[in-house]
This record gives sequence, structure tokens and C-alpha cells, in this order.
Amino acid sequence: MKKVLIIEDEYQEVRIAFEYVNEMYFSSELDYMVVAKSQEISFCEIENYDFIFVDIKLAKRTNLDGYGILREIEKNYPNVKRLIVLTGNNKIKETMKERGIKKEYQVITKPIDINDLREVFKE
Amino acid sequence: MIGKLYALSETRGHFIAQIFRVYMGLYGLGLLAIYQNICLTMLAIYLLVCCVYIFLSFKVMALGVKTLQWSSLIADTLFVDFFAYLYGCFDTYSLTFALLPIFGNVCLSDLHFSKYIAITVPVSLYIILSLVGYVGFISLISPFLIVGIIVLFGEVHAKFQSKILLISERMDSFFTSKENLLNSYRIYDDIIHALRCKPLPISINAIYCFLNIDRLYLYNGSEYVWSYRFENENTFHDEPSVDGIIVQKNIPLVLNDQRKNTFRGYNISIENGPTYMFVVDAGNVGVVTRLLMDITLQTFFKKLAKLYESERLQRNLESDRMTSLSEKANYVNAAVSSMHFMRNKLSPMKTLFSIIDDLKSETDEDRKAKMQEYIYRDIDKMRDSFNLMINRANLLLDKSDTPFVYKTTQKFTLKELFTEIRRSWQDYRLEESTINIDLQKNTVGDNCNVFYNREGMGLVLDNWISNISKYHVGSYSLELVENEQNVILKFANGYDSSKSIGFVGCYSNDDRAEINKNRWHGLANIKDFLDQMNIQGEISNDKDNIYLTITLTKIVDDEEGADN
Repeated sequence: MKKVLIIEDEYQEVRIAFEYVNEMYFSSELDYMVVAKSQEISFCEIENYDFIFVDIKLAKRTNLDGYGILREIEKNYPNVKRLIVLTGNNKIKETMKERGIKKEYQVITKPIDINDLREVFKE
Repeated sequence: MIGKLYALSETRGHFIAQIFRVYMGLYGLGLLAIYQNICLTMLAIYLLVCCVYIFLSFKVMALGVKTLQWSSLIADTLFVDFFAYLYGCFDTYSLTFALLPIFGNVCLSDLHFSKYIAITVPVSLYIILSLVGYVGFISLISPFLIVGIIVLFGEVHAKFQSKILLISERMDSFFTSKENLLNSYRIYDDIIHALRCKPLPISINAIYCFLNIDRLYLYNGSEYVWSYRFENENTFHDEPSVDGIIVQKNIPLVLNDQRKNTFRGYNISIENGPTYMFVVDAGNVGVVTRLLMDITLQTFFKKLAKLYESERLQRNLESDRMTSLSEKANYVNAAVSSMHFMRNKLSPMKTLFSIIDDLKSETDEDRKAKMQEYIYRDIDKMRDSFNLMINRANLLLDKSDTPFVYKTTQKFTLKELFTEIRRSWQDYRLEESTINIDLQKNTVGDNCNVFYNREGMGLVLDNWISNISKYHVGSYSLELVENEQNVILKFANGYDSSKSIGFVGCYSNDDRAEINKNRWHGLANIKDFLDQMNIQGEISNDKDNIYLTITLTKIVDDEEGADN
């Protein structure tokens, strides 16, 4: 069973895509944990996840936005396995550099494509 | 500058000459009363003649310096003769009185050495006579000494007036500099420095300006103020009359946590505006210095108050513009935010396409059935997303919320319209001589009115005139024509027809208006804004020139007009 953390405040829009991929391509072996705000994340367990999806924008009441979460992970949890950024911004890579994100992460742009999700979980 | 100083010397001459003649009149009165003991009737006649003499002298002075001295000498001589007639005998006093006008006119002349004569001659005679022992003559020298003192006073007064004039000149030129306009408090350094110069130096430590609207607000100052409070705002007087000034001592002001007893306040009221209070920190000064300070500073503070009020009103206008700009920025941000929103809402649609693609290539019936379940779930989700997207689009497209709506028009005079056009013409450095105006005979500009939206028309003019400035080839012109019913603006300029293919046709073609918006943004705006204002606009061209004609309906003041 692969553990997947999805940090996304509008999960309802992408839920069918994630569930479809899980059932049709991975025999429901992906265990999803969904949180909408950074304060709901158990950072001490974050390195246990096989995949972490981070939406850049997040909910209004979140303490950290997507950039803040990435910086927190880079600083304190360098051993996370696989981190994927979800965003509608085409120029996200330049913006991440400007915001002090050191590493380059895989990006899936919205609206999400099922095939992109499938490729991520296959690796 | 030299002209003003010459005029100043005329004024100085007038001022001192008047004092001199008043002195002569009083001296004569004293001599008559003490040494001749004449009757009251004769004294009254003398006083009457004195008044006429001084009045005529004043009038003669107004004719100018060259006329002044000969006319003055003649008037003085006649007055002396009248005095001699009343005095009735020839003695040393009448001799002194007869010599006074000659001495006075020499000392008051523009001769370079005149002021030196005024003092050195009587002082020298005074010393010589006292050394020689002719004590009796000393009392006769004294009147000349008094003339010398009058002349000296005039000199000091003139120098002081020159100082004030220089500061005034400095103030006038100060506010023509862009940097000074942004830092108006710097004028205080100039004032303080100039006042400290001789003669009659006035030492001021600092000047602060407060604006009185409901309560006192710090406007600016020669020193930086971190904190301030008035211990008792109720101690301030009522507002002074317009152009009037109220001086208050010991203003209870605590500046940067320091309280001084030497703050002196000058309150100036602006017509239909607030009161400005200038607080001066001059330390402990004597009565004379305080008086000089009051006289001097009032002139500057009155001027400064008017300048600051103008500055404040400009800032208020700027603030209104910023508010309007902020509203437009909010709209743009809302539009960008809506795009992000749309992206998210399109995810179910993309998911649906992918599932359908999978379904097409799937052969296993069980998997096909599961895919179909997902399709139905996704369609439900899509329906919700679809409705949300439509609502968001409606919000943005609702005209009443967009910032560029100019349907509301107001009445403006022809002069106001032309001022607006000329301002834009000048902003883009176009030649004034290329504007031709053809008005009807009875039009004066104030009685002829048109309707438009100020901001909308401003954008139309700015858009078109900036294009003339950037792209004209050869000549350009503007014609403002008034006929019985309309005011017509005809812009014309040469152009490169190879670069403007389809430009003219686009404006007039409503069938492709939405499509043409993408290519000719500015043109689309001109058409849109004019249409909103219900103003007829037309673009045409020939081989060499392109034309924009704007036709506004004219309303003359004696007709009934209505705002839209």
C-alpha cells in the first residue's frame, strides 16, 4: 500500500481523477490522506508518505501557503520521498525560485490530467 | 529685480519724506507756540495749511521721483514763507526753519553721499560749536540732527524692506521647482536664514505649520516632528477674518516630548477653507524683535498659507484619482482571480475526456462498467462547476461593476471642452498653430454647452492625440467648428497607409466589432466610449490623411438642457 498525502483545499474538483486512477490503474492500493490547510499536516509523519501533492494556493485560513509548506519541508524534512506541485500557474518554476524554493519539483498544472497522475504513481 | 528695488527706493523716499514734512510741521508749530505765542485762530490756520502741505506733498510724490524733488522744494519754500509770515520776525529759529527744507531735500535725494551728509554735517557742527564754545547755536543744530536721525531710520527701514523683498522673491521662485513642490517645508530654512542676516537680525530656531480642520494637524515644519500634542486646544482663538491674522503667544505645544514657553502662533484663515497656524520658536526675544518678527512673518505666512491650501487641494484631487485607480485595479485583480477559478473548475471536464478516451479503448466489460460509473459521477460534478463558472463570468461582465463605463454625462461649456483638448494637445507637444477654431458670431464660449463624460472624453482625446503624436506622417491639424446644432471636432493627420490596412474599416464595421477589439484595442475603446456617451464619432481616410470627426450636440444656455 502506498501512502499519498494530498494538500489541496479544492479536492472536490480533482477527487474523481484521483479515485479513478487509484481504482482503475492501481487496484485501490493508494491510501489517500487529504488536508486543506497547513495546520492539519502532521509534519512529523511527512517523511512516511510515498507521494506528497502540494497545491500552491490553498485555503484562505491556512497558516502556510504552498510555498511556505515547501520551504518548511526543505528546511526540516529533507528526506521526503516524492513531492509534486499542483498549480494553475504556467510560470511556476520561476516563481518558486523567487520565493526561495531551492529544489526543482515535478509540476502538474490544472486542470489535472489523469494521465499525468498515472505517470507520477507509476514511477 | 532692479526695477522692484528702484520702486522700493521711491517708496522709501516717499515714506521718509512724509515723516520729514510732518516733523517740519510740528517743529514750526512748536516754534510758533513757544516763541511767538500766537493766538489760537492763527494756530488753527497754521495746522490747516500744514495738512494741505503734507497732503499735496503726498500727491506730488505719486507723480514720480524726478518730479518729486523740484516740486517738493517749491512746496517747501511756500510753506517756509507762510511760516515766516506767521512768525513775523527774523531770528536764528526762523533761519533754521528756512534751511531745513534745503537740508532735508539734499539728505532725502538719491545722491550717493546724501545719507552721510544727514549725520556728519550736524554732528560735525555740533562738535565744533561745542569745542568753540558757541553753546547758543547747539540748540539750533538739533533740528538738523533730528533730520539726520529720520534719514538714518529711513535707511535701516529700507534695508529691512529689501530683506523682506528678497525673501518674498525667493518664495515666489521656490515653488516653481518640482523638487521644492514635493518638499515645501524647505522654504522655512530660507526664511530663517534670511531673517538672521543684518540689519535687524531676527533669530528664529524653527517654524512649524498646523492645519486646523476640526482639530490641529501637523502640516510640516523646519524640524522633523516625531510626536506632538497641544495641551489645551481650547485656548485657541476663533478663526481670524479672511486675509486677517491673529497672533498668539505661548502656544501650549509639546513637540517631540518637549514643552517650550516661547512658541508664538500666527493664525491665518483661508476663504472657504481651513485655518493655518504657523508656530514659531524664537526663544526669548525682546519687545522690539518680537514686533519686527510679527510684522515680517505675517507677510510670508499669509502667502504660505495660500500655497499650502492649494497644495492640499491638489493632494485631495490626487487622492480621488488614486481611489478611482484602485477600483480599476480591483477589477483587474478580480478578473485574474476568476481565471484561476475557471482553471480549477475545468478539472472535471478534463477528467471526463480522459475517462472517455480510456472507455473507447477498453475491452474488459467490468472495467468499462466501472468507467461509466465514474463518467456519471463526473458529469454531476461538471454540472456544478459549469454553473459556478457562468456565475463568475456574469459578475465580471456585468457592466455596472466594470470601471470603464461612461454613460453618465455632464454639461460642459465649449471653453471647458476646448481647454481639455488643448491640454492634451500640449501634453503631446503638438503645435498650437495647427488648431483652427470656427465659432458662430455670438458665441463667447460660456453660453454654448455640450454633454460628455469627463473621464471618457479625456481617454478618447488622449488615445487619438497620442496616436497623432506617435504615428503622424507629415502634417496634422485640429478644427473645432460650431454650427447651428453641433460642435464638431475634426482631427486630421498624414499617415503611412501601408501600416494601417483595415484600420479605418474596422472602426465603422459593427459586424466585426468584437473581433476587431483584439487587434485595434485603442480604436475599440474610442468607439466604445463615444457610443456610451451617445456621441457620434467617425473615422475616414483618403490617400494622404486619416480623419476622426466627433460631433457633439450643442445646447445654448437659453435653451432647456438636461443631464443624462
